[in-house]
Amino acid sequence: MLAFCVRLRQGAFVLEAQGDLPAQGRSVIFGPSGAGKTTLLRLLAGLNHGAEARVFYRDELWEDRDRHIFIPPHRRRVGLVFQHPVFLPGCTVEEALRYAWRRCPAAERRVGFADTVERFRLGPLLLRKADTLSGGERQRVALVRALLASPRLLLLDEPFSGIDEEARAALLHELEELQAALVLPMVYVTHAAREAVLFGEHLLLLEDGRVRALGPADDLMADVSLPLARRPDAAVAINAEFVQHDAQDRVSRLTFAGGEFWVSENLPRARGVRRRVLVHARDVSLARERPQATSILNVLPARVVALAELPDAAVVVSLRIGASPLLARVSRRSARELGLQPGFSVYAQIKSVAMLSS
Amino acid sequence: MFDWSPLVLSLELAVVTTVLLLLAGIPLAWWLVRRKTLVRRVAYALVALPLALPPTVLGFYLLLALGPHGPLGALAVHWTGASFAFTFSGLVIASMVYSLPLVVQPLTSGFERLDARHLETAALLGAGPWDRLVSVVVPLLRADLLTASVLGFIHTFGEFGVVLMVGGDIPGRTRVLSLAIYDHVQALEYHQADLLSAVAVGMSFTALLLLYLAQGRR
Repeated sequence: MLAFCVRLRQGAFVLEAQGDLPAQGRSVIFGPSGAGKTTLLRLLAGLNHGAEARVFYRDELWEDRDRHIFIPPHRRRVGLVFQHPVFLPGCTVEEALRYAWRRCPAAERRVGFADTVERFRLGPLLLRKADTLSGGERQRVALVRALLASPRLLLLDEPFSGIDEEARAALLHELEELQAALVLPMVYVTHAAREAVLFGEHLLLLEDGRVRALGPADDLMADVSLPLARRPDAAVAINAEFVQHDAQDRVSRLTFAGGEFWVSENLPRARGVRRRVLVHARDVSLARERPQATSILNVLPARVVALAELPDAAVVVSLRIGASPLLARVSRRSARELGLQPGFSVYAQIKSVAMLSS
Repeated sequence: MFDWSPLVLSLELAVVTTVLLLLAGIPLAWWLVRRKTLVRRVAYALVALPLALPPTVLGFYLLLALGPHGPLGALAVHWTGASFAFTFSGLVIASMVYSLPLVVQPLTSGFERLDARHLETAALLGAGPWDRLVSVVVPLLRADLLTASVLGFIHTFGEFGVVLMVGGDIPGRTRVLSLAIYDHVQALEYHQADLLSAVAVGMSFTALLLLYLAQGRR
């Protein structure tokens, strides 16, 4: 467990937050700009010395102002990838990576130098000067540099914000695989709802320096009382697994906790490959009875959990398909005519499922 | 045979003073820029004070402090039996005070420009404070360290009032170059004065030239 309790004033801004994140898996701190996400992350890393704070990591007390305990950042073994990483002027990528590599005692290393470089395709960049790299390359180098110091916890502060959407999704997926492979707990800060939902198993919603909500992503992303589900681009992420591919119609069948669906795809994938897929609330429509003739491939029985009115005459409906959450965004009139109520059984028609590129 | 000992003494004094000042100046400058509290603003003013004072005023108070009845001198008497007045050690201490602003000011401006994220990144990768000083601060502040060294060196090399007050112009022990030149002129030995002065001009110019050449390369 990574537990914190902090009160910190920076000019007019006050961060007053407490909570805990699991010391495993992928956690996301999500909130609008200026909510205090970066400040909180820096505090966890030990870069905000002097704050009124208490921080625990597993069974270690990292910081307790009242008891004058402060473990400095270089003894926390925490990696942090900044939004705008820096490299010493004139140093090459290899020098930057070796700097990190040398500082971890050999006995405590959890990654190999060559493997990690290979994994993130940095081989061709090793001799380049770090200050001549493109934005995406810089972020990859910064990520690998942090990994080479063999951290016990990896913090990421909007690490891919300067990268285009497609490359970002791919990096996010790589990060997810890395997390699973290294069993390295990660805390990812973002103001992009899409990234929060795609990456987070656990979410912490921060607003105006306070914790608005904290819990498993499956619960929070489909909670209609929270801002995530009320956004026009609200979506849920579902863990799915490939079952089969139909080459003629170019569709694949995926299973998930609650059923299965078909997605358009040009190429087959190996059976059992896992993916997190994104279903947008605006791509889900509801029917009281199973629609007979429809162009929509995916029609799944669902149960209404909750619903909430939105300002633009729309209603967001939180549903469950088996164990999986789902959101639907319908017009106020449709909701009234269907007579939607919590507990009501409906059929969810999923018009499209967004897949992460591999 | 011409007596070059004042030149040797001046060089020794300048080198020892500069090295000690760098060692003291780096942590001092680091401390000065870290937070802008009232105490530190006062400290800034104190560090700059030797620039503003007439060297004789500074030398006078240093002589009192380093003499047998001054705080530093009394300590020296306690340990070694003799005070710092009219000794080479006394000259070093006095020169450190005298040249302090010229060494610390380039360093503080260097630290102020230093992007804290470099230090934070190094710390998070496991570099402790000394490691960060050597692996981050020194390479990033190379130009400022060079400026501080050259200015500290030539300022100490050329001082007159302070060394006269504290050192007492004792031949072979505290008669540095600038004092020897003055003594030669007093004795109407213009040729000797000219020789030493020419060396002083040449050395100071060379040091400054090297500094500006190095800065131009960046």
